[in-house]
Amino acid sequence: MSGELVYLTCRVNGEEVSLHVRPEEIFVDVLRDRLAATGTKVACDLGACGACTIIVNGNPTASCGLFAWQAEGADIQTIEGLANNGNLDPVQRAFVENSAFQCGYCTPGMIMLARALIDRDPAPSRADIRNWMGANICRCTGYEMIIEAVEKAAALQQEACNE
Amino acid sequence: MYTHATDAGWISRSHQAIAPFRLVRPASIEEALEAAAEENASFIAGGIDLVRRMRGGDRWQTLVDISGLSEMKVTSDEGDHLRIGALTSHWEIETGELIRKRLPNLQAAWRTIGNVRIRMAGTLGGNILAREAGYDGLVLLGVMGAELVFVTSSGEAVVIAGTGAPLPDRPALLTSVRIPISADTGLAFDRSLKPVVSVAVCKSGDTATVGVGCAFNSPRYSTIRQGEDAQSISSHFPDAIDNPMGGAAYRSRMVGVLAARMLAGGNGL
Repeated sequence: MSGELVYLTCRVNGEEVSLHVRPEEIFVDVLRDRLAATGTKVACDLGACGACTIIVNGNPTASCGLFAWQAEGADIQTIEGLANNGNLDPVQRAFVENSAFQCGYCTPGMIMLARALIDRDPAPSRADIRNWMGANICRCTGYEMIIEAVEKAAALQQEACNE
Repeated sequence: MYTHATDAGWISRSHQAIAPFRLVRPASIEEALEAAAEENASFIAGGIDLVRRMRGGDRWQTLVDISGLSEMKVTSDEGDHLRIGALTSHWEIETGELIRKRLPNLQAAWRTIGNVRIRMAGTLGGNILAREAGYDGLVLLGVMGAELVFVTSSGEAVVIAGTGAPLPDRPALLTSVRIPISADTGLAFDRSLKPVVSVAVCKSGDTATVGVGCAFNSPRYSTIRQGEDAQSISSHFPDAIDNPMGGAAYRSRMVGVLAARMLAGGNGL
């Protein structure tokens, strides 16, 4: 038994996307296999680790736990959409400058999670950052440099706003 | 292509097939109930638990997407109760202005549930109806004596949380939760020992209701009176789950320790 295809329209990194999806199709597979946006990673595949985090209507979301049709009408940001004309987003820059990754597999999800935080709160406290970033798991580098990178990203963004 | 569709369903990278299903998007509660009356149907809103369970092999022929039913997202002040729509997300509970004013202790407790991704996608109703031993929504609502308001094809059905009364059989849609508001009621919650045990205490007058999560297949509740040894609350409960995550004796002991700690000066009591 299979359900009818569902017509999905959403915006991914500012571009309108329309396609037919199966009801059981998961959004991360749409991103990676049909839109070639392979920056979003899959790790636990259960919505627990956050490696697949994207931003859906401003909310950090595990794309491995989202049916594709649930993204209908949504405004979606993935890691591919952050850099602007080759200029890294402040969060990306801060992660590079703080060496806030080792193998890098969790990094796109970490960066998108941090981006969602700074979009909501341009000057989060360290406690807020720790609480927020606790949603995602890094299995190799530890969290101290990630926390510091998010603090730095907020500062870089403030600097850019003040210029 | 790493993914492909087969008769077994969509194969994700976890190689756990999600069985194909029919998707229904009702425009009203009545339509939702009608669709859910079909054999092997389930409601879906945030979808956190359902996707995980389907990856684990659970199958539904029909999923009824109720996320668009806006009447189930409303929070309203009813004087001696606060009614929170079942589709209210955890995030909306922890940031809602009306909840902050009327039930600040509940809001503070709810803020500790899950992580930010879960809190933004997950709903109050999903937390309750998932019937997961480790979920704390019902632990908190149970000690507060909240009313779970269901709509069925034959009318409204109300279940008082914390009484052990069974939830109505499907098709029944949890539309809202009514939480009593009382000036002399305090609430404290400790989930620092999750996934071993979580404990909520609601104190009213000289009686405290203690709710326990994680330690049993579903939340358990008991009461103690002022002057009783709070640690003795452990003996009010049956044997706890005994597994490598936590032994039964340890879980049981910690129920008393956490309850006593909160009653001796926990925030909110």
